[in-house]
Amino acid sequence: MLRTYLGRGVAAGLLAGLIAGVFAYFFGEPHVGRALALEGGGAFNEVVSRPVQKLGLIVAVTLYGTSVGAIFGLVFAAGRDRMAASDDWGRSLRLSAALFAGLFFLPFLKYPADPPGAGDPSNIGVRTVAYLVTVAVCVSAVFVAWSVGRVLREQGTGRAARQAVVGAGFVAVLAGFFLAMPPATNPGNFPGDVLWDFRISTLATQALLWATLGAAFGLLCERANGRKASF
Amino acid sequence: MHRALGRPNLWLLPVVALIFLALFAALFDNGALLAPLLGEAAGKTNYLHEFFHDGRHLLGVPGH
Repeated sequence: MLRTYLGRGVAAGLLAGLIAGVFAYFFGEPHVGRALALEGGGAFNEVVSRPVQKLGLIVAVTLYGTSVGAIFGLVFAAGRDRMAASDDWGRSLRLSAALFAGLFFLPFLKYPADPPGAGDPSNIGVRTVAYLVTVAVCVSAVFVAWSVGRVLREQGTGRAARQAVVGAGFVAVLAGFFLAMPPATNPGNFPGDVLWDFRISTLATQALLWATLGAAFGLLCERANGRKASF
Repeated sequence: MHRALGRPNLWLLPVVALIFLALFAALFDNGALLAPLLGEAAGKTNYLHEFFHDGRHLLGVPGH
């Protein structure tokens, strides 16, 4: 079954990456272009032309989608029997929501995406490490919270008490962690409209990718399970 | 993971390595992967960084 779920994850991730990549091409790329125009093009390395970089955007998002889809399939195989959802559709959507939160959305709250020119080239190494540590801690926090919730459920703790306690603990731990980490780059006087149009487009790209991945994987499982998936 | 695996699945090791290699190439490489092919020029030309440049920004990875 591990191989089967891995294959479904790769297929769903490939589809999700392609769709999110095309979305980013139309709705994110224009803001990258505005940011590059602000930079004046002077600092730009011209080994790859702009049209090829725009193609590279779709390739990058597709490669990312396929890779996280493979991880999704492996995690689904490992955790399927422990999830409370009653069917694979529900399990798949929950897992994609958890991975979206842990791998992207929570780190984004601490270190929001920066368009070209808004970051500081002098400390890129430190910021990359801080970002990876944040991703690791956030994704761990999500799965620890999920596991604690499951243990409490199996012990018979009521739903409201369980979710309130786990939720409060989760928020407290992440708040402490975010406070301890170095602050995000100050964008200085980078134009706020370009900055936020860009950030919203990164959020939309990632949300679309994870929603498509969860839905496609869930549909593949439901079809294989011989049940008619409810649309 | 062990419950789902049952017996050791050694084929998983190269698969997981490939997944992380793909993520590294798409999101973080700055010349290291092409250095065996291009030598010193790999860092300067930085092909993967430039090709995946817009995708890295739009996926939320830190950059310049």
